[in-house]
Amino acid sequence: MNLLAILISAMIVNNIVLMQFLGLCSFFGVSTKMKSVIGMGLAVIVVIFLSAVITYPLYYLVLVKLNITYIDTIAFILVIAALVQLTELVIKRFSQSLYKALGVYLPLIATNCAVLGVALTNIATPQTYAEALTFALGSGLGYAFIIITFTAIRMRLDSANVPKAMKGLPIAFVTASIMALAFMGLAGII
Amino acid sequence: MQYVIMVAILGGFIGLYILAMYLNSKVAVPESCKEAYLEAQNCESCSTKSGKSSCNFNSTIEFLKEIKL
Repeated sequence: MNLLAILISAMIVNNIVLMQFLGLCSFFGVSTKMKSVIGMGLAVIVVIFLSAVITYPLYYLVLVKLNITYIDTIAFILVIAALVQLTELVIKRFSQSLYKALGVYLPLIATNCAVLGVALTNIATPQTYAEALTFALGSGLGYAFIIITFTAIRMRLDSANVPKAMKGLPIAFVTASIMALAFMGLAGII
Repeated sequence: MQYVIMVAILGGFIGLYILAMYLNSKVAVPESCKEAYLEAQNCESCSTKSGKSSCNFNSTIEFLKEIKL
């Protein structure tokens, strides 16, 4: 499969949020303000890509070589958590504007299962390093695309006449499920 | 032998995480970013409660009680 197909597949057809149901906590929690969502989306793209850059070679060059692949999940959790801390440290130290835009969301991403999900998918599927990085980039872009779209819908719903019991998260769940159904129509295209 | 290697590798990763966390905690959040940082870390981001910063168990229960069918 060529890289463009992998990118589009990861971004839209097999969207990490709506098709694989990963990263739902931040998806529902942060999608209230457009400003926050753009920062969160950018931060997720950066973290997912960086974690793929590190976890893929870590798996094949360390865990496979030493025949300890069964610790992949715990190893990835630790590496991703450390990576997020280091990324936050570097951004905080060298660029205040960048930190303000996306660095403030990094602590939330440390516990985002979408990042771990992409790292584990990358090793579960036999693919090259370039394909793994493209998949990670597509997944990050897909997350950002969906959370921005979802926030726009939620902002419109704020002014809609929704029954009190359905206000807030309940209507957000219904909206997300309808979006997921719509995205299911794209399944199998690539 | 394999278990020793596994424990050493895991220990290394845990050590790396603790080091990264320690170094990160040493660098303070820039003054100009404090407001944005607190807003992003606000409990409101990941709770059903909106309008107030608290999302502990009791306040969530109180919030649920407010919803009447």
